[in-house]
Amino acid sequence: MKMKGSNSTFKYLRDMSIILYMVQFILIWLYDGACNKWIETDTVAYNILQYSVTRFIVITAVSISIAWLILTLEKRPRLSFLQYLH
Amino acid sequence: MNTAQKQYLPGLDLLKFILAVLIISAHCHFLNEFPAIQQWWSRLTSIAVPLFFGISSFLFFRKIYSLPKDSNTSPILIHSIKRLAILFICWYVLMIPMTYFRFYSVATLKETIYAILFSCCFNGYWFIKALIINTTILYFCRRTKALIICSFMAFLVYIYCSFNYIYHYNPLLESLHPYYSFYYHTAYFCVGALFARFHDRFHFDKWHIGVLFVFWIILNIFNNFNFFTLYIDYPHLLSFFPFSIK
Repeated sequence: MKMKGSNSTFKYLRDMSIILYMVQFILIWLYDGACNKWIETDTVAYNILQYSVTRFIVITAVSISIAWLILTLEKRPRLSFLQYLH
Repeated sequence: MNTAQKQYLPGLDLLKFILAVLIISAHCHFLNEFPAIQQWWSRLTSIAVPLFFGISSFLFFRKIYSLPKDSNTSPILIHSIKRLAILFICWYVLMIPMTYFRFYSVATLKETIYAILFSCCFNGYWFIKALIINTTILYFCRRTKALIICSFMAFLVYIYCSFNYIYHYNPLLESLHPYYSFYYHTAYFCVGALFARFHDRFHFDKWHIGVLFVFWIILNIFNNFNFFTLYIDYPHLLSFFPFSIK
């Protein structure tokens, strides 16, 4: 498969996909817990959080942000943990 | 290290990222408010996990088969298992709060032992366990004849598990479901290993892929009208595509 772009970009995406897969379960659990217990769903303005589209967008965005943060910290020599996975 | 080992396939990494997003959408029950579209979307997302398995198996056995026949391949297996074990332990520790409330507080001892060894105590980490077990099994069946026999048996198990398939949403039942056990997915590992073994012989061109894609759509139409009691994720046929494109 010939792809445009540098290999490092694709390797970055590979690392990101591992983190996305792991982080999403915790985020979904927290999001559902927050929606069911902590947020008053009687308030009409909060009803949007119950939609699956909102849920997907929020969880994907937060997961990608966390993955970006982890991969940025990974560049620091003292915090590089993902090296053990390669 | 020879050329086959050095050759890097960036497309598979891009595909992995897309599949990870598809998995998130499946776990978020994306488009749940629109059942007609959701049914089709779930067909698409159901391909993600088998493809992940297929790609992992393909990349692993590509390394194994690229080495000369008499060479020692066990370091490749040890490295792979070690890497997965680190990921598994980290994940296990992270998941303890959720696992306890959703599984251990309600499961019996028998269910706990089964889940720890073969299945899962929480959605998600069954995936790494399946990777570790299936990679090890197929490594010992890596000779051509053994691989073909193993693939045939894995396919039979897959068909057997697919009869009257009912997806349980109960966390406890879900944890003990065949889908979350390694043997349900051995067939996909075999697909990856077979492609790595016979990649040069069974190379698809664009026309073949087009025909397979049309076949996939027809099967989806049949599946969505519930004509069969046998449930098989037909989109999994797409698992063949990424390995077949040059």
